[in-house]
Amino acid sequence: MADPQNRRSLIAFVFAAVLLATVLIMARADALARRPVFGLATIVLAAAGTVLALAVGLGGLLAARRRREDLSQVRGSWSHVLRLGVALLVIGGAAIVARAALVPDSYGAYGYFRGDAVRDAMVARRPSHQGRDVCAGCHETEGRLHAKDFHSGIQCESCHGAGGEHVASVAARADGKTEHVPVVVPRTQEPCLWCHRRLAARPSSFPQIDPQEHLRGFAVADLETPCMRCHNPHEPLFLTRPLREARLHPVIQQCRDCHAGDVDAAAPRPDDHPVVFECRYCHADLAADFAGRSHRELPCGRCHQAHRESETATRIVRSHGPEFCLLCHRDFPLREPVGLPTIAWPAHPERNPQNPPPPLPDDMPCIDCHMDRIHARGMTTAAATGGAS
Amino acid sequence: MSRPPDDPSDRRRFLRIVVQSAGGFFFAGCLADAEDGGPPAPPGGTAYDWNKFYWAYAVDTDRCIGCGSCMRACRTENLVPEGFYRTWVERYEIDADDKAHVDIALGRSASFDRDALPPAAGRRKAFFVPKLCNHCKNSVCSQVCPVGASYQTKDGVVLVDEQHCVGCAYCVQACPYATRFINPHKHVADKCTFCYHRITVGLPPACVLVCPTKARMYGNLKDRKDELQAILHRRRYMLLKPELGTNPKCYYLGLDLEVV
Repeated sequence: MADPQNRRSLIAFVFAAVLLATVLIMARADALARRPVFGLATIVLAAAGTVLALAVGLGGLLAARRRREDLSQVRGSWSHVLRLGVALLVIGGAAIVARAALVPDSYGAYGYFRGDAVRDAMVARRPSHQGRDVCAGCHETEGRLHAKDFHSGIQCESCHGAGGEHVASVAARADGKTEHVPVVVPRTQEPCLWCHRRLAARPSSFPQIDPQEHLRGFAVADLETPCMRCHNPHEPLFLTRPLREARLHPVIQQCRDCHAGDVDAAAPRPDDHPVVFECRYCHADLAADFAGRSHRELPCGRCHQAHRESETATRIVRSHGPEFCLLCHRDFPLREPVGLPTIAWPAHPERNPQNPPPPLPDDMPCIDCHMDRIHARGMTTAAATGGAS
Repeated sequence: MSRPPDDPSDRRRFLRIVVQSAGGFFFAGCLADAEDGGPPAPPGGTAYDWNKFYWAYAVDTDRCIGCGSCMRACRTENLVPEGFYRTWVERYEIDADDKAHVDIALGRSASFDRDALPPAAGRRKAFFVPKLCNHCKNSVCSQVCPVGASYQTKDGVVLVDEQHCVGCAYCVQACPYATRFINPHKHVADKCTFCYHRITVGLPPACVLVCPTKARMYGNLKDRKDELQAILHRRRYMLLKPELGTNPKCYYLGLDLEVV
C-alpha cells in the first residue's frame, strides 16, 4: 500500500464501485416498485458493494498513515478526484430522478416497451363486428333462411357492415332516448356487384355477371334495376338446385309470397316442393308456337335452365357462336347415332350447293338462321306477375 | 514522495476496472431480461393467456375475388381514417408483353368497377392479392423505434403504443411492406393490430370474419390442432420478400412471382 501507484488505483476502484452501484440501482429502480423483494435485494447488494469499496479505500489510507507517509500529498491528490466524484454522483442522481419521472412504470415488463400497452391494445375498443350468431339471435327468420341459402357461408356483416352500433342502439333503446341505428344494405346493384361484377381478375369459377348484359338477357328495361328485385339476398332460392327443378318461378321472391306464416311448417323439405309453375302458364303464346315446331319434344329447361344467368338464352346470345346448338347437333365421327340431325362443323355452310358459301363468321349463332325450328323470338312476361298470386 | 505522472500499468488497471464495471452493467441488463412478468393482467375479467398463442395469418390468393369486404370491415372495426388503409387488395393484370399492371380499389366502397387493362392489351392473366401487416417475427419497424413504442407481443403481434409513439415515422420508412402510416388525427404511427381487441377475446379479426370466400385465414401456431396449421402443412405457401429476413407470419398460398 506504500507506493502511490497502489493508492491511486485504490481510489479508482472506489469510484468504479460507486459507479457500479449507481448503475445497479438505476437498473432496478422500477423493479423495486413491481417486485419489492427483488428490488430490495439488488439495492442491499449495491449498498454492500459500495460500503465494501469504501472500506477498502479507507483501509488503504489507514495503512498509508500507519507507515507515516506524507498525508498532505495524499490529500492533495484526492481533491480533484473528489470533485469529479461529487459531479458524477450529482449526474447519476439526476439520471435516476429523470428516469423515474420519464420511464413508464411498466416499461420493460415483457420486453423493451411499456408493458401496459398490451392491455391498452386489448381494450382499445369494443369489437364492432358481431358475427352472424349474434344477428340470428334477434333476426331469426333471416337467420334460418340464410342458413339454407347459397350464401350460407357468408357473414351478415359482409354485406350489411359492422353491427356494433346497431346492436348497442337496440340494447339501449329500452330507455327510449337512444335513436335506433339501422344496418341496411342500399337497394342498388352495387352491394351485389362488390362480389359478382365480372372482372378478369376474379377466379372464373366464381359466379360473375356484367349487369348490363344480365339485364338485357331478361328483357328488363331499366339497367339500374336492383338485383334484389329478383333475388332475395337472404334466400335466392331459385338458384338452388332442388327448387330449380321444382320450377319455381323467379318472380316469386320469397317463400312467404305464397306461404303465409311459418315457411318451415308449410314446406319442410324444399326437395319435395311440388311443381308450382309450368312455363306455359305465363308464356302461353311462346309455348303454343313452340309446340308446332321441330323441337317440341324438348322441355323448355333443356335450353333455358331456370333463368340462371350463365345457362339461359343469354348464353346463346352472349357466346356469339354455334357452340350451344352444337352440343347436341355436332357430328362427331365416333359418336353413336342418336337420331338427331347432325352437321359436320365447320364444314356446314358449304354443304348446301344451292346456297353459295357465304362469308359466314365463325361466331355466328345457329339461331340467326334456324330460329324457325325453335320458337318465335321474344319473351312474353305480361302474365308473369298475374300468374304468381 | 514521488508520483510518476503517467504509468502505463496504472492505465491498464483503470481500463480493466472500466471493463469490469461494464460487465456489471451487462449483468444488471441480464437480470432485467430474465425477469419476464408473464401475461398481462386480464382486462375486465376475461382470461387470456398469451403464452398459449402465437398468431399467424394466411391469404389464399386463388380464392380472393377482390370484393373489398375486408377493407370496408377494417375501416369500421378500427376507425381507420379516410384515405388510409391497414389492409388493402391489390389487383395484378399481366399484359401480352408480360408487363404487370397493379392497381388498388380505393375509396369507401373499395370495389373494383372495371378491368384495369382494355381487351386490346391482350391480358395473359389477372388476380388479386390482399395485403396487410405481416407481423414479422423479426420486425424491422419495432427494431428502429427510438422510444420503444413499436413492439412485438409475446403472442406474435406487432403493435404500436399510441401513448408513447412520438410520430417520427421511422417505422413507416422501415417497413418493407408499406403497411404503416401516420394517423392524421392522432399523429402517431398506425397499422394493422391483428384486431388485437378481438383475437384476445376469441373473435376472429374483422377481415377474416367478413371474407366471403375464406381467402383470409388466421390461426394459432402454438395449437397443433389449429386449422391454419393443417392448411400450412397441406398447401404450398410463399412469403413476401423472404430475402429480407423479416420472417413474416403472413403466409401466402398461390402467390405469383410478380407480387412484391
